[in-house]
Amino acid sequence: MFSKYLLISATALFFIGCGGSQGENSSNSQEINGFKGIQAPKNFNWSSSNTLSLDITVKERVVKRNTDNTLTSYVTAVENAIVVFGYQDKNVTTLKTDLDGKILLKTKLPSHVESIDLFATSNGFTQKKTVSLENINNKQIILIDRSPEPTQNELDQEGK
Amino acid sequence: MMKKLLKSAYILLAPMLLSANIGVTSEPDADGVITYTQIINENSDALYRTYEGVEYDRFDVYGGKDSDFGWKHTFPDYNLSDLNIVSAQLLISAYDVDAEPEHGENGEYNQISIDHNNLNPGFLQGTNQTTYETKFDIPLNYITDDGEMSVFMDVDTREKGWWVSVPQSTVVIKYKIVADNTAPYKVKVKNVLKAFEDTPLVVEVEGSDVEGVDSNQLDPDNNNVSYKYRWYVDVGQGEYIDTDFAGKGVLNTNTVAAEKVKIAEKWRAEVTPVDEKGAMGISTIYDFPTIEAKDSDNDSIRDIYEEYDNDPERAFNLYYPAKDKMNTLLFEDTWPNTGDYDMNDVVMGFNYKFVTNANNLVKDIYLTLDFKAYGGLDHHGFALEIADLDRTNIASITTVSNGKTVELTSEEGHKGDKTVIVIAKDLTKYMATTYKEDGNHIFFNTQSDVAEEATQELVLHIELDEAQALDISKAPFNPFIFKQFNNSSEPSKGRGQETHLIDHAPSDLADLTFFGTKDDVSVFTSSDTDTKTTGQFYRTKDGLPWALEIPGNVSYASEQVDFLNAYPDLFNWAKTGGENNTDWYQHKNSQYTWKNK
Repeated sequence: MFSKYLLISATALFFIGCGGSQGENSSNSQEINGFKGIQAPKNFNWSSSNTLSLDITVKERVVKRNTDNTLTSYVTAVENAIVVFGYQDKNVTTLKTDLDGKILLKTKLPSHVESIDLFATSNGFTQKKTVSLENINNKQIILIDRSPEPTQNELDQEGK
Repeated sequence: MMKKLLKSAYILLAPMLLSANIGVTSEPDADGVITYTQIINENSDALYRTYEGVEYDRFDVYGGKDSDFGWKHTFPDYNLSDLNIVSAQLLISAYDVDAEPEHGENGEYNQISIDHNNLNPGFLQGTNQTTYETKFDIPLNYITDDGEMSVFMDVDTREKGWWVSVPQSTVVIKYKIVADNTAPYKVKVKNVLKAFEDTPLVVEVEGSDVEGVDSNQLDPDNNNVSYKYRWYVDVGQGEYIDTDFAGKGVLNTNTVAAEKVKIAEKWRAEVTPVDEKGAMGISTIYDFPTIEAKDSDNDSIRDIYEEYDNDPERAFNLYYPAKDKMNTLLFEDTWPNTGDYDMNDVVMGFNYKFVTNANNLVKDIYLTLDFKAYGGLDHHGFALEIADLDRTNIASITTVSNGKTVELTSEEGHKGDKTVIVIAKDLTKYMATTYKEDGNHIFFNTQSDVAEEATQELVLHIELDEAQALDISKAPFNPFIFKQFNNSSEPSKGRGQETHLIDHAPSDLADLTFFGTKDDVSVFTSSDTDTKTTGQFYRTKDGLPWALEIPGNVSYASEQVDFLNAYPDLFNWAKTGGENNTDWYQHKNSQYTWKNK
């Protein structure tokens, strides 16, 4: 018996595309000078999009029942898993994981977007995770975790 | 007190009332169909709670693997002459059958057999702590041999520790008495060698399946024959169950829809012939091969996941900004002078679609442009530079607009192998402007007092010879306008006078003498004097741009209206270096946008 649990771990880098420091001089009022009255920081790039870079690994938890009725549990990377990324019901990318279950997802998002959706599919099983962009700055996170690793007792007693 | 007495009396009398268990036979209905119903439960006569001489008293008793028990159903009319059975079902009501598919092979299995033959499918269905009635089709020969059906239940067949109780068992046999009519022959169905996910399953009758009978003859009396279908599926628990119980709905035609067929499932069809007089023949059980993954183009991506099932060079679509969504490019066309900053001299929506192969490499680039507005006096062309795209790897470049296809080549004269494509030599071809005799101009969709013109779309398609890696986070890459015709007294260098997004490098054909003149304070990095690709470009001393890319299909300012009036929050957003008012483009002042849109 195999029970499968799909995981995605991801190292996420979230670059704010509109860097630079604030200008020193107070601006003139926009009523008088309009657009020309703006004094933007020296390096301001005027982009209203943020670059998103996610280093994603799709993993699958396999729980195997042995002949002596004990359980063996292990986590393995999933080759050829399909990861779909989008935001606000908009599909952006579809990528396939490599031999190590990895993909690099890099794209840009409108600056007002606060969360993204990830769908990981393997062997007909799909998991969705909505991730707040505030929570993916340079740290290892579990994006998708179907359930905690089951204990032997949990599996044996479940529902009886 | 009275209620108590009545209850006691009922308890005493009930077994007597129900003890016969000879079944109830209805009067024939309008079609002559007679229904025979027999219920066996804890109140039944011991004769019917007996299996092969052993009397069991386990109806409605909750028990596990050591609680196997049996009972007997009878059908007294089994040997009537001219008997035509229309349907025959065994209905077992059971409580707490943990047969949910997610338990897999460790779920609860209670095998039902009749006359020592396991029914197949023959397991009780149900869910945790509920009562559920499982319907089994009874093979006709189990009825007509002797009119007795000895039913046995092997509780928790796989001995996983599950418990169950059975309140009652019911047999329902529908039949007709039709003189000189014989049930139709059992049929043979077409063998299927392979079955694939997301593909319909079809069971096809090939003919009768009786030795010595021509397969074309379906009925001994040559009656017309139709078929009843019942489907079962094993979704991973190791046994076939009703499709309805497996969450796939009630299926009663010869076809299972593609969307219900998933990888690794096993499907079983039951085909029962019925003649025109309602007589039912022996059912045929057919097991399809295990459902396999379908990858028509063998590119390692299953068809259900890819956009291009039959093209091994293509698999997925990637989008910028997103599928069915456009961003907006706005240009002020007066560079190196600051203009009126209405940002509507050239306005276009755009969407990129990148077609990638199974290894996530880009094979095609589609750029859809929606030419929205042209508010400039000068004529400009529009071009795109994708520095990371090797021009020697391009198979073809085409544009399609108004149904007309034009073949293009990447522009010559650029250093290295980077790709520059002139998409439109003169944008007024798509956004016509006119000069009036009174000296005024009619622009394209920028003046609120001028009638709106229909916009045109253009689709650029770049097909690559070999799929290559491309960082789509660099989209929209490096789009720019360049001057074709100068209506003012300012000197013009034509193609060399380019206007790009801020800090996007000029192309190799740009005339560098413009840089650093008028209001432009572009600075080339000293070590980059040859390629001119690094530094700060197209910005004023106050850091203002001549072009903007804005998320979404946004409104733009009316002619000669300050763009800041249309989007007041932009001021604070830019002044704070993007820290505040990051959604400035979602808060327009329609009073200043073109036609208040």
